[in-house]
Amino acid sequence: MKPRSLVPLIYILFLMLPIYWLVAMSFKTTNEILGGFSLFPQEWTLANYRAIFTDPTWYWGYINSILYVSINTVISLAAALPAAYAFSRYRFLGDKHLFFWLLTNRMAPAAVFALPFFQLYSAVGLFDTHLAVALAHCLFNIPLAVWILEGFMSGVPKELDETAYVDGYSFPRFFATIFIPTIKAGVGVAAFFCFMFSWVELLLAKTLTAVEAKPIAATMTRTASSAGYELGLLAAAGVLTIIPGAIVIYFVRNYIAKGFALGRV
Amino acid sequence: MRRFVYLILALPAVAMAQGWGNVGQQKEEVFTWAKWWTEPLFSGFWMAWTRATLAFFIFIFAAIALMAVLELRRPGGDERDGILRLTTTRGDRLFISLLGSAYIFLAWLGLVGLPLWAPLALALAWTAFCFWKV
Amino acid sequence: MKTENQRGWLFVLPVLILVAFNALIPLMTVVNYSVQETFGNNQFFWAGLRWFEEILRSERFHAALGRQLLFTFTILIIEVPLGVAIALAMPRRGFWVPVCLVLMALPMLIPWNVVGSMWNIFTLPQIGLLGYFLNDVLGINYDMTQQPVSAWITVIVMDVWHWTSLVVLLAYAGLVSIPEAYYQAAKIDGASNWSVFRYIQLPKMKRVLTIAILLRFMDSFNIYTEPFTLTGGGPGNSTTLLSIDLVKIALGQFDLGPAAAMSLIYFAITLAVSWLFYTLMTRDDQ
Repeated sequence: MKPRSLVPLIYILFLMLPIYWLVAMSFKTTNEILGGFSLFPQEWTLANYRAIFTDPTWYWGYINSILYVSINTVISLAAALPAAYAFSRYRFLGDKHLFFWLLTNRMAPAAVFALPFFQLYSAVGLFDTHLAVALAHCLFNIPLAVWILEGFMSGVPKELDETAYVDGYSFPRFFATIFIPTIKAGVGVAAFFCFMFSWVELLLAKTLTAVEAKPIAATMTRTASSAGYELGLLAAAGVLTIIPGAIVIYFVRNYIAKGFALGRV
Repeated sequence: MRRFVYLILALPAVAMAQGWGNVGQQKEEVFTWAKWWTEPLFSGFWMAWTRATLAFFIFIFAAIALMAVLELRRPGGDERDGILRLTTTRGDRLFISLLGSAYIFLAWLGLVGLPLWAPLALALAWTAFCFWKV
Repeated sequence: MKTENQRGWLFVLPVLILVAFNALIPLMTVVNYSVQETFGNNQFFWAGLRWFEEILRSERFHAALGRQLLFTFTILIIEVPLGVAIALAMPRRGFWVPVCLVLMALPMLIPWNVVGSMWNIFTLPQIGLLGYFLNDVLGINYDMTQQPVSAWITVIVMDVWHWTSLVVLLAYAGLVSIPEAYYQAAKIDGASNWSVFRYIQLPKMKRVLTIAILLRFMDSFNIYTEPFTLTGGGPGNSTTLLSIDLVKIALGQFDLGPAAAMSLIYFAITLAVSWLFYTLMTRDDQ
């Protein structure tokens, strides 16, 4: 082993330490957590996980999160696919400025939108629904999806479109049966990043929900503040929120950089 | 002493006897342009529009619409390399001048304060500079 | 070459409507609120530019902005060189590459409040691994809930933990795009490691590093959930960054006017950096 491969190794070790600690805590009993320091759980317990899977306020948090994240991913992709095609293939009035305007929404701080979103979604009667959070997350996920997809589509030569046209394909048929399969990696990456950014966001999701559509993250912050010493439960809930990302990430491993960089690598 | 207390207690009664006095009287509404511009446009509506802010957005959208009309008349966006080593079109110049003006106003407001006539002149100068040279 | 076709507008329309609903209506509302005063019940009174003047001159805003800039520049100074160094040390091919990439990306996929909770649990004195190690093994007095310095260091280390991988992944993507022939030519010329870095690797990474720096600048400037869950902005106000302060005013105190004015000032900064990002990106695209 070369000495310089130690650098990534140490870095990964540093990344894994807090995650390890979270996992270890989730298997400890409350007594052990408060009783003293132990590197490994002395007495393995699944009580924390059992508590989550049997308490409706906990598991509904997960169901709510998954619901609005899925709705958001579907809306974002459905809207972004044709738009990204237009940006990558056509020149039209104001295209560059529109593309820039989308970017500003990806860059804008969520804190700025929290207050008007609360007013807006209350006024249209969507407050505390999954749809409200899903629509609100479109603010940054649609621009993200458009930018990522545009990056992938620009890599597809225009000859593909022209050949399909000459072969007598109608445009919708070409788009659905030839073009989307060609960029399916891009669609997958865009879906992954929409899912992820909606999954990790808390501020807007918390602002727009009260009871019915309350996300798991908000349930966690409530636990953290009210019952200060249920650390084991908090850790178990945290571990469960990491799992979806950890499972799916393997499939996009070659495109992680591209996704985070809005398709510009 | 007791008399004095009675007198004090009687005072509100005297006032009561006068009825509403002039409390309930509507003050004569004086029309001013400042008020016309700044009063709530749709009372009780959460978006809280006023004519002043409405005019602000109409101005912005009109500027964008003007750019669109110009682009349709003379396509190509009047692209050029300005002195800031940026390649800009009309729309870019509009954006730079508006954002720059916002910064000029904010800086003046923070450092000097109201009124904003001087920064208005500065902002106009900046806009002219943007469309001329940038 | 793209073709001129106004049909593009039809394709963009759904995006336009959805994003306009989410971005334009709130923006208009914020502009309206920023010049008015309210005592609830949707009754508004004209306040002019008073809120802007107040916010721009308030100690509290200056302090929050100062902390924000300090935070952003600190994490940039740490994350960018560290990320480049790790990317340079990564293997170029082989079995370990995907393993490294996946493990490194993992922190970025964790919900932001879980990141905060995780670091809270990790750093608690006596209970957390780091807290225990520092206090009881090394004997350093460390308690992030009591000492502002500890809180600051924790918030920064947390961000380094969370986002350095972004720089690593982007820099690595730039590095693997360099053809092997470049390195061979450099070897023949007897170039030092430094000149290989300076004249071959750095120019290739320039574009991705620009993206990385701008993204890190922007995202750290907007950061809210992680430090809020970790410290709640405290102890005192010592880790109250711009977003945390804004949410405190807007949703905590429900002071719509000042919150709206602060939002617009915040937004102006964001807009300028987005423009810089866009200009640099599209210039390189050509």
